[in-house]
Amino acid sequence: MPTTDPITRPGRRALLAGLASAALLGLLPRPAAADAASQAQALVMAISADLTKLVNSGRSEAQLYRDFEGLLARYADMPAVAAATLGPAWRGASAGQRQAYVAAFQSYLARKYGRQFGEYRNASISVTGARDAGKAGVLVQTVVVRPGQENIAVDWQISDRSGRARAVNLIIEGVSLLANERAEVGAMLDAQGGSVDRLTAELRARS
Amino acid sequence: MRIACILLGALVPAWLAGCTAAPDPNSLDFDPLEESNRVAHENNKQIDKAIFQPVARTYGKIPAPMRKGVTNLRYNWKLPGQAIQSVLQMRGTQTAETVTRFMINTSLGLGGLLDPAAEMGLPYRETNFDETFEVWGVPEGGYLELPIGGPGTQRDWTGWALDILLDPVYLVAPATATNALFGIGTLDIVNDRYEIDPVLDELLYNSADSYTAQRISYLQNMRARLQGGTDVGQLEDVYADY
Repeated sequence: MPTTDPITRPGRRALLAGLASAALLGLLPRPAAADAASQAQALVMAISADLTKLVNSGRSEAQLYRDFEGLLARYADMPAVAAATLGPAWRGASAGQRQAYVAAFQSYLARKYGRQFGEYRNASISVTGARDAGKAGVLVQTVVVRPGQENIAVDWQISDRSGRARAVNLIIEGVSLLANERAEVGAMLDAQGGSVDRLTAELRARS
Repeated sequence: MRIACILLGALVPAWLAGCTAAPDPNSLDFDPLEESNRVAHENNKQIDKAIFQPVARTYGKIPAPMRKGVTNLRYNWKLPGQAIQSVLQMRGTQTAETVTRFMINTSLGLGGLLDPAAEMGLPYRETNFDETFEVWGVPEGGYLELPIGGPGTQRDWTGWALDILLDPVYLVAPATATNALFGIGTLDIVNDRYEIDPVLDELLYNSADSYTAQRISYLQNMRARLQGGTDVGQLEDVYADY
């Protein structure tokens, strides 16, 4: 539309005026929040690129799990995620028990989710938006497009509370990894009579 | 039909009873029917392993475009009922889109075998009584795993029965057509089982507690589906206790 159009001019002015008053009223996102959101999006794009490369790399299963575990360690705050899934038992565990549990949980997770990778060959991941979730961090929304199959909505919960932006949860079609793993780890802990050491051994056996 | 009637009669009182308990709508802990659900769950796993899983894997060998045609047909003939749901949900645009989609795919799409409407920007979007109940603010009730039926809530299963009882296509079309649609629907349910095979396999046969794993996955997925995505307000602060 030409800029000389008499209708667009007042419209644009009104829009600018509206934006200015919205900023005065504090309705626009603060620069800090906007920064966190764009950082979170950048992180998800980096993770997506690495994941896509890995899924299509044609590596052996064992290598795939190892590389995926490397990505988890690099991009996710695994100690925080592991602690959140263990719940009250984390507080009662010694430093050595915690360290062993985090390592075992990370391998278990890499294997469990790595097993599904075959489904995602030739898939592409695109970021569709980001929403501020306050103390919980930023929710970055993506859609995984697979040729000939239904799209999958994957949301990434990113937090910079550890000092840098890292993933703390993955929500696949509404299903929170954290919620599911808390239930799973809880069931395993019960089955092991509440012993964190035996739970750690069980996770190692499953990875 | 008769099974649905019996089911509905059995469900409604339980569902009303569920309303009085008023659980936290986002809680994953509320599970008043756990005891009977767990019995059904163990039986369902055995039935799945013996019948559904092998049948679905066999059906999956049929080329994808043919399976897609069956899915398209089933989806198309669900549209009249879904247009009514959109009206009940007071969603005007969605109603118009559903009607338009039905007219395009029934004519240009050869009775619904093909899906030209999707390419015109009118993709299939399932909506049933479960969503209408959500819009109306009807509580979920308890999680209810039915023998053979699998996961659901008291509200979802009530909606499911109503969807079948009140489907306008089944009320209007001749018996030969509805019998064919029933066959198509059955095949497509087998296809649904095939499509989610990797995820369901992991959930049912590799979980430490497969009942809970399936229950909380179902509830979270259903809520996100009916509420239009992840609720940011429900995200947990991972560092709260860490």
